[in-house]
Amino acid sequence: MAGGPAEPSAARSFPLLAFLRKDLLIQLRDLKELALILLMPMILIGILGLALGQFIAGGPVQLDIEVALVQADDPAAGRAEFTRRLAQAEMPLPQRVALAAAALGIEPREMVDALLNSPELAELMTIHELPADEAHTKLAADEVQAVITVPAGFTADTLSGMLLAEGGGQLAVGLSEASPLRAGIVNDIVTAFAREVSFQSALSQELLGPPAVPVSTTGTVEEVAVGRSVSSVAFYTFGMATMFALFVAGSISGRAYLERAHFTFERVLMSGAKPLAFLLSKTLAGAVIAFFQVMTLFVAATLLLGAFRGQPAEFWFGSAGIAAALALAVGALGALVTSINFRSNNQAMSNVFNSVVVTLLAVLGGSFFPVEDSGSLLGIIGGFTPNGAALNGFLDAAKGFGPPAYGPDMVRMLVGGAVLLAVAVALFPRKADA
Amino acid sequence: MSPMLVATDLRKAYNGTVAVDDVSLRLGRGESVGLLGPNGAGKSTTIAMLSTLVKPDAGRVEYAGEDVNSNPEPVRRALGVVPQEIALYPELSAQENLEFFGGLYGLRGAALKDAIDDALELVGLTERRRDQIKKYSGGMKRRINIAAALLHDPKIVIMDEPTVGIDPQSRNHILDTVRRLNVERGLTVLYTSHYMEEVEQLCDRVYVMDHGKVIAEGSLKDVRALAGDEGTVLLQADRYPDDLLEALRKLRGAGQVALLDDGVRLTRSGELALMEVMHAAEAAGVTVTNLSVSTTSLEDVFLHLTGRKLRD
Repeated sequence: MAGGPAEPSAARSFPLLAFLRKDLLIQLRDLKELALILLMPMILIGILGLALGQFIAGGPVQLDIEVALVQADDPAAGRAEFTRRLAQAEMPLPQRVALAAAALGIEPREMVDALLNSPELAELMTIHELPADEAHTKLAADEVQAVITVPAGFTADTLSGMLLAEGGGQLAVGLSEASPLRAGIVNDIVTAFAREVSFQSALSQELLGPPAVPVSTTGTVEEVAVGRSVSSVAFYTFGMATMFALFVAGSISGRAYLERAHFTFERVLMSGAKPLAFLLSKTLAGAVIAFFQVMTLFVAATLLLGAFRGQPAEFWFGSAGIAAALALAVGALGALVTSINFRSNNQAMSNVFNSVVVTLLAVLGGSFFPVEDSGSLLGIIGGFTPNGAALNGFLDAAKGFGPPAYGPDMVRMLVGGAVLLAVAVALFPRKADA
Repeated sequence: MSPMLVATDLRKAYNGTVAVDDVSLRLGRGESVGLLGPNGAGKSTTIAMLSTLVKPDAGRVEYAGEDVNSNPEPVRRALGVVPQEIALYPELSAQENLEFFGGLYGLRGAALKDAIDDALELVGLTERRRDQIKKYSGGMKRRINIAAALLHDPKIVIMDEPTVGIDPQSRNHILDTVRRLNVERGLTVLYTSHYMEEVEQLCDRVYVMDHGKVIAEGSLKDVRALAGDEGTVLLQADRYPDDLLEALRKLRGAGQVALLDDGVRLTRSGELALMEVMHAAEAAGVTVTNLSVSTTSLEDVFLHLTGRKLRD
């Protein structure tokens, strides 16, 4: 205390690191808070992942997809048409005879029926053979999630495609836009069927080139990309980590208000630090804590429950990026709640946030059950919550998809976080007595 | 004594309630000044305005001749404010708290370490520097609360009720610390308290506040004189009927007459005769158990000026 009052330095005008160190030390020493953000989610991951796993992709799934099958093909007429085309084909007689014999062993309609009535698909979907008009009426009402049409000429075209390399049979698929996940699964099945037919064509004719399956839709079609499966433990690790990250916003804002109540905030201002530096320090501290919380949960869930065992490095790098975006959004959310607390001069908003808002965001964001297919509106809203966007991103990363898949989720979190932070800055009092 | 900090006609109201009304005061270099008043008198609001945390509705504060609201940085660097509350982080150790607050003032490395060592030595807690604040006693917390205000080597220290709710030993330690800061290190001290004896021990000059206003100011001698130099009379009896109080008020030489916890206290001038007091009691039909005279204290001054005890 000698040598006169301390002079300002560059460090003094940018004290964020001092704030950050202080907030991290306090967080690390608050065992109750640590239990809330680390222990509690681990317990829930264990319980939900093991007990409720059947609801998630890792277990047997009961999707109950309703599918209408429209039969417009006449197999006998198709076979006659194929015979006519074969007769007109320019090829040696022995080959023509051989192809005619081969055609006798191929029943395109039966191939479709066999596919749709297989025991495996019977667990997923129920097939209703309907007239075309009725099928599309039901599709519009989402009473069926897909209409598979076996068009007129299917038998002739399929045989021609397989044996004469002329065109190919095409199934038409109409998909419901109200149930994109279910519709997407049907689409995948039909596409796989088309590939199978194409493969058999190649074998028959040594011709390659998959027959395209034209997909007519009543609205948008959501392709369900095929990636690695996600276990229930992995899903709930994502769900709980993203949900409990939100509690960081509540706790950081609650502690910030205590700093005001205990006059440490005033002491900070007396040092010459700007009020906004204090607010930004809360944003940064919330972000850092949330990031390490999420990544710690991922590592712990992998070590204890095998959640992401075997995942490649790309998954971990991608997850770190998504976690960073989520953490910044959480930090901004914490800043907003801090501003509201300071503005209203009480801590009520932190309590409301932890007890009501987090629960609401958790449900909307799909932390407890997937909302992607539970009605488009809920799915869309969920995708705009920080935890929902992060959950979607993590799931994409776990399935093996790269940044193009989860990039939009990260952008949503970062843009949303920037908006929240701007509102927080606008609301935050600039004076101690405001 | 050249004034360092001058407040002129300060006024502050919260939601229509006037907390500070037309308060003026000045602090000279090296002075130790007391700011006295009961809870709610406006002391803390006055301090908040002096330290630029609260902007006055009217009036101005000048540090070294410059308006602090237009340029708060110099006064903030010059002030060390010890708030009434324990403005520390309980989860952090004393060392970590001081590192944080010193860091905010731009102290780094050896300068920060020296400042912390010095502050801890001054408040006598060097040995406990690694302990978390939440493990400290109330008195130790208050001592670290003081240390945190001294790290940046301020010229003026403002202490807002620094001895509230602590044990006598810690209180004596704090009073000794304040004395050392003022006498040995030459710091200007503004000491607020509602413990009169502390202000009497520490301060050269006092301001007495009540209901947001300064009701008396000057040297201790000047302010004591406001209540007369003859001290106060304490009358203790078996009961205190209204007749007794009325009779005492009518006595020649009686000032304020107040029924307090320990009896009836009268401020007096030299003309008040104790025999007259005894006669008044007898006439009111009460039995006197004790009658004593004490020298005038600041407590008596406050009683004289307001008719109330300072700690009411």
